[in-house]
Amino acid sequence: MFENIASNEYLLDDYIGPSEATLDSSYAIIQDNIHQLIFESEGEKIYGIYTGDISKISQDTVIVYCHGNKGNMDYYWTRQKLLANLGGKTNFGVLMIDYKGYGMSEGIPTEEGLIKDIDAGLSWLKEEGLTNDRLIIYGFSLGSYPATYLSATKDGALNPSKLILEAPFASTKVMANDASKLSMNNNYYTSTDFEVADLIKNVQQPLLWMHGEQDAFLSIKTHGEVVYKNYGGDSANRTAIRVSGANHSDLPYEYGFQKYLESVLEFLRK
Amino acid sequence: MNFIKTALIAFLAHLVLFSCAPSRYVNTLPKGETQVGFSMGGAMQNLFGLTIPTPYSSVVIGHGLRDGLTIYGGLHTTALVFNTLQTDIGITKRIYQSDSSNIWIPDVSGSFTLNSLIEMKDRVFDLYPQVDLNAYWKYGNKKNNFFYLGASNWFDLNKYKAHNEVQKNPLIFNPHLGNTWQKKNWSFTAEYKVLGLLQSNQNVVVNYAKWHGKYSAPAIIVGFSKKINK
Repeated sequence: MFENIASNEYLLDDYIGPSEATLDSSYAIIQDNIHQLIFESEGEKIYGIYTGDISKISQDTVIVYCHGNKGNMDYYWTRQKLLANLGGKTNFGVLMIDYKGYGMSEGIPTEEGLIKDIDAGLSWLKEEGLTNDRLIIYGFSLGSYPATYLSATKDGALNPSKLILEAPFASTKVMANDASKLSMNNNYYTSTDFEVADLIKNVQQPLLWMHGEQDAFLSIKTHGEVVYKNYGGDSANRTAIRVSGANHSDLPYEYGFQKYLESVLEFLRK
Repeated sequence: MNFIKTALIAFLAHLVLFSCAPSRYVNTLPKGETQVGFSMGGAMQNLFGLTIPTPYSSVVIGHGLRDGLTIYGGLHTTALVFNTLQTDIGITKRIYQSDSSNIWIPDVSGSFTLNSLIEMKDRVFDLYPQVDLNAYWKYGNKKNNFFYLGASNWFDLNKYKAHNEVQKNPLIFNPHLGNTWQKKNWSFTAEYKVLGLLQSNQNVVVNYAKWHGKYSAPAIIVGFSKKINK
């Protein structure tokens, strides 16, 4: 499951490794709006990519994209580029961060580290002038953990004003239940205790949840629906998009890039 | 602080502990006989481009309490690596003894087992009763070997799963077939088990081999036993 592929450099558009899809040239981001950044998290050097004009962070709305487990920022670059085309070219700033042990980021990934790593990015955004009301946090798969944690606890340098979850997992206990078919506790097999389904009970910010109906890794029924059901805010503030035919990693592609972008944009403008 | 990668790989590799031991003492031991055994194997899963059995292991000791009645206790050794004390303690009773002149009519035995799991660090505890039913056909010159066909049935007595979701699968039905070859003091068993015949194998984090379509997970388990007192 964990494929925290280390690398010596980020290739982004030149990356030719495994990928979910390719975007045509209309989604290209000009080099001047692609910034490789270095942050410090728990004493380790970690890397991020910001798309947009850094000098305008004090006025722009920024999406922090918490990527999944399958690879590093090169693998998820198409996702960032897609979001960087939301409502127009670099209309929203997008920050993606490689967790410790992923890509060029130093160290070893840990549960707490995921949160600290994203928070390091939030600290930088705050220094650049971002405020809570203009911060959106987006968690995909594994990234749903730090995204939900920071939204629920408000422990970060900034508090997100909206939360987007794509293919979130409910908890490692659900994974254990699904795999064993028994009401088995996850403690028997792993001391890792990722928990989103309980954390989200404390989320009050508007929520957009998207999940592929054919998700073969994290079932929409046992993971996604539980997370959505447990949302702690007003039910009028939650939006669900169930994408027929989409598996775990291909939701924007199965849904259609434009439809995906329009749906996200509609949620952000609500 | 836990290393996610290590923990998650371990998690994937060993999630499928349940039912990953062969049927214990399909053929009951003679009165007074004690055997010790070792088994390994488990659910077949697709990992790193290969289809491999879960590397699960257990040790067992059995004793013939009286003819047709055997008690046993097993310790799941792989689980210990994860700080989990998993045991199975049970009893096998021969229900029917066939006429030895008719090779087609099998003997029948039934077992009742209590599977317990204790996570030693956080003191988490679960108990799963198991009922097995086996028909077995003895063959060979001394009728030491036998082929068996049966099912292990696990019962989940908890009403709820994680996050108060209702447990809709109180019975996990695991049919199997196997063969035991016996040589004087040693025996070898190979078993093919269909884990969760009625349960979907779709959309779960473990990529089970899908040899039987969208339901169940196949498991291959082998075991060795040695008589130690008779």
